[in-house]
Amino acid sequence: MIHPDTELRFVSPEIGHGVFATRRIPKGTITWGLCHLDHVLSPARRLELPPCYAGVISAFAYLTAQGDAVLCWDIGRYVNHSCSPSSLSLNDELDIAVRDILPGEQLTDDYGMLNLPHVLQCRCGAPGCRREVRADDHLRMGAEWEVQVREAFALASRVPQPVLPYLKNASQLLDMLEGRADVPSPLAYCVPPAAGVGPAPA
Amino acid sequence: MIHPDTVLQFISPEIGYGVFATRPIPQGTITWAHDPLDQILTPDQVRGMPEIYEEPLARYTYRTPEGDHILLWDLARFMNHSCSPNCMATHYGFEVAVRDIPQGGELTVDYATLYMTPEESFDCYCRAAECRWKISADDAEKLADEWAGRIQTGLLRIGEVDQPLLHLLRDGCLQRACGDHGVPYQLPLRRLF
Repeated sequence: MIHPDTELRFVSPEIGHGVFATRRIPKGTITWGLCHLDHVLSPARRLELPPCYAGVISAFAYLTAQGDAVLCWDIGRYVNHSCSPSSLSLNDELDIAVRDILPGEQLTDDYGMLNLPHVLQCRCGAPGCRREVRADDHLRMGAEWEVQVREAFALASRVPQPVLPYLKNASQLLDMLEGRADVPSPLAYCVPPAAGVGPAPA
Repeated sequence: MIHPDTVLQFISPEIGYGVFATRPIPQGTITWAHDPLDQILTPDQVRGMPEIYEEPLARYTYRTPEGDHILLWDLARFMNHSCSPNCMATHYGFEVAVRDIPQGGELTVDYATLYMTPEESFDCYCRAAECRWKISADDAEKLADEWAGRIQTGLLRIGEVDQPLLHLLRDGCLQRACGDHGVPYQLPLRRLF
C-alpha cells in the first residue's frame, strides 16, 4: 500500500506516470509497504501466465530475494527510479523516505535494490546518476544505502506511519520500531541475478 | 484486462480517475476481459483483513453473487459508471463496446450490471440524458431487457472489428454470450487480432 498522501501524475510519454506527494512526507516515513492486496507471483505462477503478462511484470513488478515478483495492487507500481531517490528499500516489503518529500515532489526508489533481472539504462538526471542500474549495484552502493536507511529509520518512531495498519506483516515493522529487531542490511535482500532470481522477462 | 488502447486520466477531485480511449474503439470490440491477474478475494480472505481495508475494498472491488470480491488488477478498476454506458458487461467475464468510442472518449459501464447489493445504492450525477439519479440493486430486474438489447448491439459487430483481448476469453464464452442474445456466431471471426 502506497502512502495515502500521494497521487498518480503523468510525467511524459517516455517516462509514463509517476507517484507524487500531495502533502509533505517526512523523512523516516514508510512510503510503501506490502499489503494484503498486492500480488506476490511465485516463479511457478509466472510460468502459468499467458506470455502477454511478461511485459507487465517486467515494467511494474519487482523481484524479492526469493524470486517472487511483487506487483503492487495500487499506484505503488508507478514509483519511478532515481539514482538520488526519495525512498529506499528498508527490506523487500517496505520503503522508507530517506529525506523529507515536499508536496508536489515525485516519490522515487532506487531500482538497484529491487533485484532487476536486466540492466536498466538510466537518464534520471540526478547528480551522480549511475547511467546503468543493475542488480549487483549493492556491491558498490550497499554501504551508502545502509547509512541512509539507518539515518532515516532513526526518525521512524517520531513521524506518523499511516501505512502501518495496512501492512501484511505489521509485526515486522513494529519489532524494528520498538527495538526488538534490527534494521536489516541491504545485502540481506539484494541478490545478484546469478543467484537465481529467475529468468529475465521477454 | 482492459483494452490496450486506453489510458488512465484524472477527471476531477469528486470523480477521481477514469479510463479513456487513446484511439477509436469501435462498437463490437471486447473492451475488457477477466484475466488471471484479477484477484478473487473470498469472504474468508476479506474477513482476515484489518478493518481499515473496508474503504479500498468498497471503492475498487465488485461483488459476485457468490460473495467474492473481485479486484481488477489494471486500469479497468477505474472505469466509471454511466447510465448510458458505452461498454456492457456480459455474464461471461467480458465487456463489449455497445457503440463507437471516439479517441479521447471515456469508457463507462453501468454499475448496476455489476451485481450490486442493496447497501451499495448511490446517487448518480453522470449527466447522461437517461440518468436514473439513484442507482440501486433493483435496476437489474427493471432494466434487464434494455441491457440485453444493448449487449446485442455490441455482439452483432463482434466479428467485424479488431479483438486484441479475444485470447483471454475462456472457451465457449463468446458462443454462449451470442447464443443468449440471439446473435449468430460464426467462426472464424473476420479479424481476430
